[in-house]
Amino acid sequence: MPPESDKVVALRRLLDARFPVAVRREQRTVPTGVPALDGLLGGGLLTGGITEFVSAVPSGGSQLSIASLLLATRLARQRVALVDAAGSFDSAGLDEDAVAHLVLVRCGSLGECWRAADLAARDPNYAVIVLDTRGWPERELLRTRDSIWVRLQRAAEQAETALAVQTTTALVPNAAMRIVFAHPLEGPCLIRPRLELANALEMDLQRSRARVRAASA
Amino acid sequence: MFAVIELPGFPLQAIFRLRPELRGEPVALLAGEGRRAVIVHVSPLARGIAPGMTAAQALADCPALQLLTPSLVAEREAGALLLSAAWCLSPRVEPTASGACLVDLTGSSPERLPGQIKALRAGLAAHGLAARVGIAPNALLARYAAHSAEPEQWIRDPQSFLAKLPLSLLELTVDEARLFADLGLRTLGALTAFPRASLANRLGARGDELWARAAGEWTVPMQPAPFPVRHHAEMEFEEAVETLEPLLFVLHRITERLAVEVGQFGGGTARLSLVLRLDQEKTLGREFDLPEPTANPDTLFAVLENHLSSLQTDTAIIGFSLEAFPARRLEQQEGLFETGLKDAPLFFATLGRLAAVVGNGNVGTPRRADTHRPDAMLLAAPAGSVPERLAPAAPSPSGPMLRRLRPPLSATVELTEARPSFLFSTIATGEVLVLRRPFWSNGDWWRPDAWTREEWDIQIGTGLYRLLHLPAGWFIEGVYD
Repeated sequence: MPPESDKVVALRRLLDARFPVAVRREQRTVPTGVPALDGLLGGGLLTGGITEFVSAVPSGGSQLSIASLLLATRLARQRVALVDAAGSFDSAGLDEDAVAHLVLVRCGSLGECWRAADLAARDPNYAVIVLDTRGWPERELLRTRDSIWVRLQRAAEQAETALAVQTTTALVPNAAMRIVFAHPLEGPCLIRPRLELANALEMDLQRSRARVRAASA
Repeated sequence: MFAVIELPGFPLQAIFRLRPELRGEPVALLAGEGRRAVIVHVSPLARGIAPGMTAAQALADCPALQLLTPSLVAEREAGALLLSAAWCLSPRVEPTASGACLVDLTGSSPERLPGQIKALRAGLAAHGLAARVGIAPNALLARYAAHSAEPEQWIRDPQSFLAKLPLSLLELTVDEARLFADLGLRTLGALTAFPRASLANRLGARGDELWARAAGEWTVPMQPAPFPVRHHAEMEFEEAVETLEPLLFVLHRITERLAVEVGQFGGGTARLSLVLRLDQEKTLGREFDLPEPTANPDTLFAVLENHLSSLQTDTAIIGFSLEAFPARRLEQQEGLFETGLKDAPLFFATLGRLAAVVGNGNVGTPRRADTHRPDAMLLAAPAGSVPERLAPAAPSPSGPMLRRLRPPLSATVELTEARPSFLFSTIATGEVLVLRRPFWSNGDWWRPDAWTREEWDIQIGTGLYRLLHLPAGWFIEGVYD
């Protein structure tokens, strides 16, 4: 094994001095209001981490899950920021009081979207940050640097905020949980009561780092 | 007990506070007009330069020397900061000289005082000012103590302290200095060893006064300064400012001072007023209402920074004035079910930063516009607290949420018996399964921008879409998801 350089030794000493013990903050969950989703997530969106919602089909119910999350957080009187990369959020589907806790950020470009998400994720006033990247071509989304996700995850960890990212393809390398919405809603769903529809939603858990960590602890 | 707080080399310290880049360079301050101007203050790095030299002499000895004139604005700012810091010790503070003040410590807790003095020096140091403090039973002794403090000196035995001090502290005239030197008197102790009456006989009332000062006697009543009524700062730049950095730096220093001022006795400010003076005699004013009173300089500065970072002016900035309006900070116990903001200033600062990134009209809480026109939504300023949920007036909606395509996506539609049967578009192409009959609506028919539309809910493959028929053609308005 090659001898360690002085810089590496100095860096280790510095890290030892600054972080004598590995501190992992207690993670809480924010219920989404969708029973199947909360079941897969172990109670809800994990604070301090990223949960990725992948919409594998156009009408898989991911937007309905966000609507349920908005209602659940509204009842709990928690703040939510929705960073809407393509400006696709339609508040007309909810009554005005249901979004009284929502701060909607409409972005004009992906660059704006990353900067806005970074700012919002650093603010501990928000219980949940939803970052909706759908509407942008996958080719552009896949060019996103990993460092952006690491930075967002660190910010959410510091602020103890839950960060939910909506994508059309698996995009977030450091997502603690990845949920795939691959079961398309059928035509008759359009007339079913929304609450009933949310209770019947189906999705798959593709990744759960939190669960692996809990199992190995 | 009294304390004297001194900022040694005050005119230079005041300039360095606003121009920290000069700290690493040899600097001297000039006073006087034209050729008669002489150096009055010298920074430690200006080696070989002494007060009294002319500019030409000084530059000959030190070519890298930066020659400046004293800055009244910088001194006013640093002086105000010094007074504000002193008022944290006692309400009775007298500015005795430029960069020095006397504090009456009567009533202060002897146990807490050392900690308070240390905190005062640390606070001033954080604002770029090095202070020395003398604490003694009277104002004169405190002044002597501050003069020789490194950086803090407590006088508990005045006799032994005075005995070793040099006579130069008495501010003697040239004749007096020569006389005492001839008599072999060099310290205050040596002077007070001389009989007081004989000194008075020889030098008259002046002799008696010098003896009393050498013995540390002080009978002059204190004249405490009134608290500032306005917390205000004004600055004119020597050269017009065209970039943000220098303006922000100076504003940061000034907000620090204003925060200390308004923060005395637990106060704060809930409103700031900034007026920028521009070239061509223009001004640009803006008032900032804060969500709650604060004396946190970073919060106050963040408000100004957010505004200025998105501000564009036609002409350069030549000066500004900033005023902080004092307000009592809220003292309230948080309720068990309180859902207010964890950090209100940060929440509104973040909103300001978000607006700077995406534009003012693109951040806020969605509100319906007063119209039936589809997709008419406004973004209102978010409220400071989330109210309890009202029971919805309308029955629970049905179906999944619509994810809008803004603007709607153009599509080509084949009709069979006046119903869409096949659709071509960039996101979905295929046979159309009509799920719901068309929904017709129109409005604003009395206005030039009247609208009329026909909506179809359709399914193509695994996707549910809203198809829109307008006079301009067919469009996909959104995806049900």
